[in-house]
Amino acid sequence: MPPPLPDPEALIAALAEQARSAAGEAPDPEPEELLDYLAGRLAPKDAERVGRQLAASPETARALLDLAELEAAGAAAGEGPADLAVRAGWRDFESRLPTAAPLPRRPPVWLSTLAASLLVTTLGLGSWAWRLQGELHRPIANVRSLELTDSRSASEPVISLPSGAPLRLVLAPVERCPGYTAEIAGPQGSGRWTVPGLKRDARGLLALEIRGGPGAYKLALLGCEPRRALEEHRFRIKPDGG
Amino acid sequence: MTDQVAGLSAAGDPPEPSEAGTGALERAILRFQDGSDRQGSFRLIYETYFRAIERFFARKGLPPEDCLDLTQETFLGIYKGLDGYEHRQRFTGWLYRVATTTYLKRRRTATAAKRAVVEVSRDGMENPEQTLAVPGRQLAGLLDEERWRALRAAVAELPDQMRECLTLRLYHQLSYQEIAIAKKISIETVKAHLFRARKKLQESLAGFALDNLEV
Repeated sequence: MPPPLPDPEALIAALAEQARSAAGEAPDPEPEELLDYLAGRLAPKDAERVGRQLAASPETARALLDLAELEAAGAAAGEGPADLAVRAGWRDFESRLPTAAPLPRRPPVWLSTLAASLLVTTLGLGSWAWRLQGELHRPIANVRSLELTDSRSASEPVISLPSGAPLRLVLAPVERCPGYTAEIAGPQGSGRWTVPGLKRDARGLLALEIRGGPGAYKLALLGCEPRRALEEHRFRIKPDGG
Repeated sequence: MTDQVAGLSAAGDPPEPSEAGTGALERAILRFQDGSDRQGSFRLIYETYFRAIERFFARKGLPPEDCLDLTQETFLGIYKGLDGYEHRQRFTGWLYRVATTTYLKRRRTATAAKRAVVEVSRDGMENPEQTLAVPGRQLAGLLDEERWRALRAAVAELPDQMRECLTLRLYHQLSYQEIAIAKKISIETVKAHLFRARKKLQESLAGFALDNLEV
């Protein structure tokens, strides 16, 4: 049988046992709860429970003291100059820091403002470009137009055009079809072009744009189901001033 | 255990954070996070908490050179993690967790090293709870049954506050000032509780050798 404990040690054991039995099986308090206890923000019942846990668990008591000291240090932040040892510690710590500072988690305010401005500008420009695209599809003054509205006309229309300038052809198909295809044959040797997917506008007109050199052209308009030739037009481009 | 804990105010008047102190810290954390002055703002945090964190490790019974090393390691952890700190959290609680993680990491490494060299464990000495908290059944073999019952009854009869002060003093080995903080009472009240507790125990346990009990 081991020798009996000296009385003071037996007393400590009895105190520890009593403290543990009073605290029960409650889990150790979280640091935030201990901070609330320190600040007197806990309800009396919870404060009593934490008090019992402090007596039962040396680790909880140590945690409370650590937190109290950290709180006290925070409350005195920047109040006086750091002592020599702390300054030396800082110099050592500074030398351990990674040289490349990580990117800040939050961008600075000016960067957010710039990003917002760029977004607004982009949206504005996009909307402007969208409107501009619509404008581009309308006839404009410096694009020459040739109306090919009468396929029965015997005379071949002639238009003067600077070399390489666009020519807008306007047709007024008699037969209404969901879509049309124009087949254009250029002057000898210049080839043939097909322009599918043409649709009549609100006024019943079709418009397409070509670029071609001087010479005689033939345009066949195809459409409807079954697809067939609806109209045929001939026209001539002559050099401007020629 | 020392009776002086620098930086702590005695309980009864728990440490109230001053607006200037916490305000300065809040601003430093924000400056650090937005990257406008990382080094400068972190220096304030470092200088504010250096001593408290160093004592956090000292209270765990570590030698001074280890305390300094772990303090630096903790600040490195704070520096790396501060970008992720969210202001709705309590900064003190957050710091405490970083320091605890640093300590546990070091302890795991030390434990692994100890196992490697098959050194005799001193865990019992590092953890007084395990050494001193002898369950009643085992004590029955160490003290005679009647004396043990008398001891338990005398302890149970002490008023709660008095008994808890005595427990913190003898079992946790806290200083008067630390007990005052833990119990949120003044140091004078702590001393009075301990004095009365000792007197009551001496009266109840006349046959016990408690004359030299230092509280």
